Amino acid sequence: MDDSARRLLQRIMRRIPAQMLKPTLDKWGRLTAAQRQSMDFTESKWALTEKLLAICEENEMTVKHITELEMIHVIENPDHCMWYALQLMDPEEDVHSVELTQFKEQFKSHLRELIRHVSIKIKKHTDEAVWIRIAWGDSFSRPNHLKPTYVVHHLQTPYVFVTSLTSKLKPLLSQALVLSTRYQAIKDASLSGRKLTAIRDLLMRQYQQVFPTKYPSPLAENDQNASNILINKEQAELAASRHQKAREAFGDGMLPQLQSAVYKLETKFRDHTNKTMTEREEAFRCVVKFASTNLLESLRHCASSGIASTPGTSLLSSIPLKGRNYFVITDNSPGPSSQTRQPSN
Amino acid sequence: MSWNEEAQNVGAPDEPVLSTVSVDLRWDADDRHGRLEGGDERQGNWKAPHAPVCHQELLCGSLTPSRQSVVESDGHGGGQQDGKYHIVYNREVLLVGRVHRDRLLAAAGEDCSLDNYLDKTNNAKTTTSAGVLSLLSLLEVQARSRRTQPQQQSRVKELKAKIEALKVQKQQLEAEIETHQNLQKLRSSLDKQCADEEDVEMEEVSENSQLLRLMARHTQLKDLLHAHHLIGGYDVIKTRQGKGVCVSLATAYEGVYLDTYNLEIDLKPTVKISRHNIPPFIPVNGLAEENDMQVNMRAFLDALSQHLNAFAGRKQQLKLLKEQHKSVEVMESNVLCSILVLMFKVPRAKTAVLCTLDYTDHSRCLPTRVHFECEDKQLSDSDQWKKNHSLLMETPVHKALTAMKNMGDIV
Repeated sequence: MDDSARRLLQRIMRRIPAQMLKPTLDKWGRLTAAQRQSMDFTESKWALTEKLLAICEENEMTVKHITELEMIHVIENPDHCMWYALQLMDPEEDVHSVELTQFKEQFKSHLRELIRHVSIKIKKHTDEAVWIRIAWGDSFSRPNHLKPTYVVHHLQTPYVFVTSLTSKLKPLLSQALVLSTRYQAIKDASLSGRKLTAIRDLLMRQYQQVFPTKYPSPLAENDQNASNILINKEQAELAASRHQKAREAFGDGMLPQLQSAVYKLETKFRDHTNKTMTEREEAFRCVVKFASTNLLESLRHCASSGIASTPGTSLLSSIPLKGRNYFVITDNSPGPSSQTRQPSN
Repeated sequence: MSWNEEAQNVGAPDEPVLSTVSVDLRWDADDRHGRLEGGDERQGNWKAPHAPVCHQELLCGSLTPSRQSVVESDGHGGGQQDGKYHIVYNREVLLVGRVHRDRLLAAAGEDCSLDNYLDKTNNAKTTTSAGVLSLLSLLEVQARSRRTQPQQQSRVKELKAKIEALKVQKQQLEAEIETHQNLQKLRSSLDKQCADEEDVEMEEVSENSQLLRLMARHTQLKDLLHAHHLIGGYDVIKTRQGKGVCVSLATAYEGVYLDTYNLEIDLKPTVKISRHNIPPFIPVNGLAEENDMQVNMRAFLDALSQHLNAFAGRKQQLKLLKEQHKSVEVMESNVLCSILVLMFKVPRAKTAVLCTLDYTDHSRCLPTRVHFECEDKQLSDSDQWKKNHSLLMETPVHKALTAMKNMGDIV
């Protein structure tokens, strides 16, 4: 086992939390029963790392095997890195007939054409998601396994989620993706977040949306169970209608956990009391960032509790509606405009 | 003392009130006994069977000496009776006001024994616990109404006015019924016309008939929409004060309702979809363009409903397959459920058969192509498996697999 493999294994062991160690190793399945038994999981992690290194040496494992372990861990806990969403545009005729093996072959061959030293690993998860791990090298050096890029894609959907991609490598990945999925272009979907499940649910519309309907669900019953029926609230009707509007704008139940929303303003300064600023010709640039542990939940609560008036501003309700959390607002269009942006590294 | 003041006195709260006073307020100075039985036809409400009811009402109606309520409750009696009282009370009646006492004594001068009364009517049931105050207030009212004849006149006027109002209401209701009947006739003719596809006969083109025609058409459309909703089609409601609609598309498979998808469509200024909760692998925008949503909304909705129902059907088939046939391994599937690769185990030959089902027509629940792959070439060419091929092409996959298991082709 060479040096890079050893370092990789050490890094992976540092990342995996102690309680997840045993299940992850079991899933990896590369240790024999005897070896598994010899690992005492009550020891300190450092000791376990040393033990595992020894076992891997024994089994003559290569980097390839160790990257499997890393991939298993990342698939289980995808929330450690920042994920960025990309959208594929202009499907071609046969986009729906792309099946897994075809996609795998095409992607690997296209990416290998573009960059010589690259290590690709593709795995299909049970929820129909295709996970790709890419370690980039260049013409002179071997692939760097310490900084891999992970790509998640659901076939037949136009969305791709990537982590940690430098701007130099982005066009290469984009090209490979476009060619293997039978689309014609790819663009940035202006949606990023730490939780993969959240941004995926937002784009695939997997959260509970509320629509006006002739046959409303028994909402009133839920509310009654919550509060004391002996208390008759004065503004119960108003509160219920606010609640309904908030749910129509943002959704019902558990909302996808976005962490931030960024609005980049490029509008002219408008304030009657401040003449000097208003007189300037050029746009007043400013960036407004909303951050929270669960942004959509807090926005919905603002609307339903009456802090923000309903119907809320379309700028905030565009976040779930359009499935993005980066907006550039200019004077020409009153609503949020779609602009491309480079993901920051 | 005037009557008003006396009224106040009677109502004074600190005066003792006794219970079990039974009062029958028919005062017959002449015949103290006879009125209870049979009664007089001229004053129908004084018949014996009515007595307890009246009685009850009178007593219950006035615990406070408000004249209004007392007049109302003995309204029948007060206006019409010609001042005949018959008072019977318990020996324990306590007289509280001097004036009232005098009156009562005057009234009750003659023979008015409780026993007599009870013998005749068995009226013990109607005694209430209203007390003597109520009794006195009732008496007061009775006496007053006896005196003031003009009150009858105003009462009559009131009733006449009420009659007029009720007549007007009756006319309105009759007009409504007539309109409704016309509407029903028009509706039935419209329905028949739709069934026969004939032209409409224009009778008189008066404003009324046009309006009625429109209303009939409106109700027809509403009923059609409701029927459509009941059979599991889509349902449409207006939103944003008529500027938009929200369409709910229900999906079902084999008689089981599955997910419902919603679309909000703006109608003004242009017809476009504002939001929806349809997953991204169903090409909503593509279908909208294909079917020209601006012009032919119904075709678009029908196509979309077909796609969604087919998707829900395929998804349900996959779910049932996984539940019912655990021995069959699902090698590949995708979110759109447009491709399915299964691994069968053949019992005797101990080989595996890889079966690929392609659902390239996304508006159907059945596959467009079935392909078997097996190491043993002979197996896939055998008659049995050719039959299985057509079985899989024509029946839903979970049912086909059950049939194949029954025939012993797969484990």
